[in-house]
Amino acid sequence: MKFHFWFTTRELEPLLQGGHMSGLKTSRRILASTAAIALAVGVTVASGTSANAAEKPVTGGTLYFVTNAEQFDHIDPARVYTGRDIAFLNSYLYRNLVSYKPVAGSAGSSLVADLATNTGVPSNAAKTWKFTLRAGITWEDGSPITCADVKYGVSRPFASDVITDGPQYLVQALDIPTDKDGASVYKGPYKKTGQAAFDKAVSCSGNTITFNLNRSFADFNYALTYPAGAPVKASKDTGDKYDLRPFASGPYKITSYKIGDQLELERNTAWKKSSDTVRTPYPDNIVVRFGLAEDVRDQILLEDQIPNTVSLDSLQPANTRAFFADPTKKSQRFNVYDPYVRYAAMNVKKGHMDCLDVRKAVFFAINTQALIDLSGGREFYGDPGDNPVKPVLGLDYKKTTGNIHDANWKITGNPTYAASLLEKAKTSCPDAYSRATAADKGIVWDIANTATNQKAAVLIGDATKAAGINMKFNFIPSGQYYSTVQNRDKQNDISSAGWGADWANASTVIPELFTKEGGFNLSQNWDDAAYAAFKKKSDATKVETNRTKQAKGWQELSQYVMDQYWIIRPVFSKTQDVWGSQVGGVYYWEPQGTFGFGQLYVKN
Amino acid sequence: MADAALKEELNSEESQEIVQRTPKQIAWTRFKRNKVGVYAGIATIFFLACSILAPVITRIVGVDNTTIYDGVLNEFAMPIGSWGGISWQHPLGLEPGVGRDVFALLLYGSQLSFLVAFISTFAAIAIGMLIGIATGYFKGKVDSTVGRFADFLLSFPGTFMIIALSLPLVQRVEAIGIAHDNAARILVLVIFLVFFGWTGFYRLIRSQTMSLRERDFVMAAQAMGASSWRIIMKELLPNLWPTAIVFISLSLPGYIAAEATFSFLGVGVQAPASTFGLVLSDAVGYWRDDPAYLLIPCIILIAIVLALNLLGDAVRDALDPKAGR
Repeated sequence: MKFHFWFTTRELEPLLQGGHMSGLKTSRRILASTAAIALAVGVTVASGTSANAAEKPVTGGTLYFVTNAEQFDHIDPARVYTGRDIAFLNSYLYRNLVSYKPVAGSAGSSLVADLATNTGVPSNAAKTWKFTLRAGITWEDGSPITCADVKYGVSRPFASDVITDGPQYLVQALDIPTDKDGASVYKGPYKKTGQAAFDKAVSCSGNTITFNLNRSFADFNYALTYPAGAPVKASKDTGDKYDLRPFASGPYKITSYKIGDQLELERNTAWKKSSDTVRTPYPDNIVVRFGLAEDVRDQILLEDQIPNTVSLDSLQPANTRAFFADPTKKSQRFNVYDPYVRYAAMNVKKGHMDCLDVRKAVFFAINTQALIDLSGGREFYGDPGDNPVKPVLGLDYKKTTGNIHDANWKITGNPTYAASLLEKAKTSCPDAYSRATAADKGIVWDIANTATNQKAAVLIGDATKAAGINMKFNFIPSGQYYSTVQNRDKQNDISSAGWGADWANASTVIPELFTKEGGFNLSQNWDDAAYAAFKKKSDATKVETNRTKQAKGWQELSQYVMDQYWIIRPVFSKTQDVWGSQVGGVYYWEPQGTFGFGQLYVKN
Repeated sequence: MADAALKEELNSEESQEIVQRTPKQIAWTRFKRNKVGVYAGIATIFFLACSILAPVITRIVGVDNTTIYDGVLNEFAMPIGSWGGISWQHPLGLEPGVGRDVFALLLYGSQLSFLVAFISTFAAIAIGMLIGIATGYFKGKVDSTVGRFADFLLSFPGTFMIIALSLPLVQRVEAIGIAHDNAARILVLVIFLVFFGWTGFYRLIRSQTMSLRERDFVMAAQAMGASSWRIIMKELLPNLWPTAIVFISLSLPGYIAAEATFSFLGVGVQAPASTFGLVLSDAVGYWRDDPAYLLIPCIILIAIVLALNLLGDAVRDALDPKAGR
């Protein structure tokens, strides 16, 4: 799936460009470095489905959305990568071969057929996937959606000079040769270089499209929930400008889109309910109002000034608290676990955190309670975690041993035990010990320069000092944070980070974070003695087609990661969303980490 | 008898009229007459003393600027109790999020603020004085060159330069190894403030020097064959001191405010150290939940700057009553 919407375009661009240049996989759901501030403060809440779910939905009216952002980062299907935007656009504007089930709870993470008649038929050890289009599906001008349109849509992400920032799953997985830099020989539908290779990998026969992949990919259909696999009508493709006016296949089409002002949607009369089992378009019009000052946006919601409004952003911390403290707004909010795990990555490269005892000493010294309180408390920020994989992933999560379940771990920090670990390091790895304790050296922690992080640094510095560790902080401007720490030479000893699974499979977490080929490896662990065994098992688990066996593999690998302390203090974080009193049908769509937009309606 | 008494009376009257008062004494009398100035002076001395004696005062009160207090913040890391957790133990409340004592933070913070302000002021004045006298006295090519350079600096958007260049410069200073962390940041900030700050004073001194050098007593000295060095040190400098003192007393509050502004904007010292600017920029994020945390440092900063400004005005009035406001 996607970057979270906290990620501004500015933060995203350097990352993705870096990925293209090096021919590496681009990373996807990196948590915005400044996110901690967005979350905060409040009182208890109900979660999941709105209390009024039993009410009968109403057709008609105008549904408003408000946001502080100036625009959607992208609305071109091949370029959108933010969970919230994918959910919004997939619900209203365009359709994919498959979709997540539009229901609350973990059932929402299962797939349903959308444009296709089923959720895909794998063969050849899941290296070949076939989808058959259903009848009666049309574009907004009434013309039918064909297999060629799907094929054309899939070809667009290959034009990396025009179609930037989108997910790269199809580019990486389709069986198309790569040149010596690791880039695909197919250069997209505009240049048409290597078209023959693409035609071989993606072929149409009547209404059936076949994808040939370069590896076993048991959950390839999940990758097709990304609109990067959505059909695009070649005659309507305007290249870079398609990002302003995509041609609609869903129940709504764009009336106007002005960046910094608003996006207006009206009903797409060519869309037929009979061809769509996923969407239930209730409102007549949908309006997204951009660029509202945060105070104005919060006021609209707090005072219910426009009752048919949904906020696309979390409110400011103090306002979130006020909103959640108001008993009359009980059915206008949810507070749920978001898809992210926030953690501190240990750079275990030689000369950095290459000593297990020192890594452990840092972990046991830290006052976790104070850090969580600082960002909004357990109620609103999240819980101490024990795993790089979040429990919402279901199958792949299993409670680990050690770390926060260690008898010596205290939520407010245990400097005595940390000091004893450090004492052990004196003999087990004297170099690392002297680096960690010497006044002129110390451990350097990379952290984004935000007000909250400045305070976190004070808390961490105080706690580690009590254990005898000299901790220093490298504050990096938020917009440059990930591009800096992803530079292997610039990354220091410890780096704060956040990551969410792209779909309900830890194959989008463990290999990404902890193998050398991964898009977001901040552990630099490939020289570590423990790496070879890990890598072998990770590779085997990635291509395992038995889901139960695969889940067991991820569970064991998570345990391995935690035992090596390649990451420390994961936090299973939360998010809060609010809406006006006349909005009905609201629920939290788990796989997208946001509203289930398609079921929203305006009450009478 | 009567005659003698009368004579004595006359004498004493006469002596009263004749009593010669030095310019210093005249200025001091004028200053004492200005009630506002006196109070401002007392307040300034009080603030300075508090700042210098910060370690002693915090020990007496029983707080510390580095201790993170337990059990003073609630589950959202906000101070427990009204008005930002003000109590006998923590007279100005507690820092939200972390739990340090605001009184101790501000006391130690004021040390840094005063340090930056004093160093910047005196460095700027020393440079301005030196160059001002040199160019004003010798004139010629040097004068015009320096003058153009000063014009260039005066018309330069210094604030933007400080914000834009401070990070790379701090990194450079750290790489060279002159200073590290906050020491490097303070050094860079002071260098910037001085670099853009000396020109105003230089212009003042230059114009005064130019008018002084045409005066008779300087001409006389020149005629007697006094060296330039002697003329500058003995004839010109004593006449420039009042200007310098006035300028110092008016620059100080300016630099204190500037330091607060720049650390508010993220230039200058960083946590765990604290200055007024840092505390204020932190407090802005909490103004809804903990207005006291914003108001208290604001009021103290205003009081300090106001006291220094009023003192500066009083000093100017005392030393140079003819100068218009």
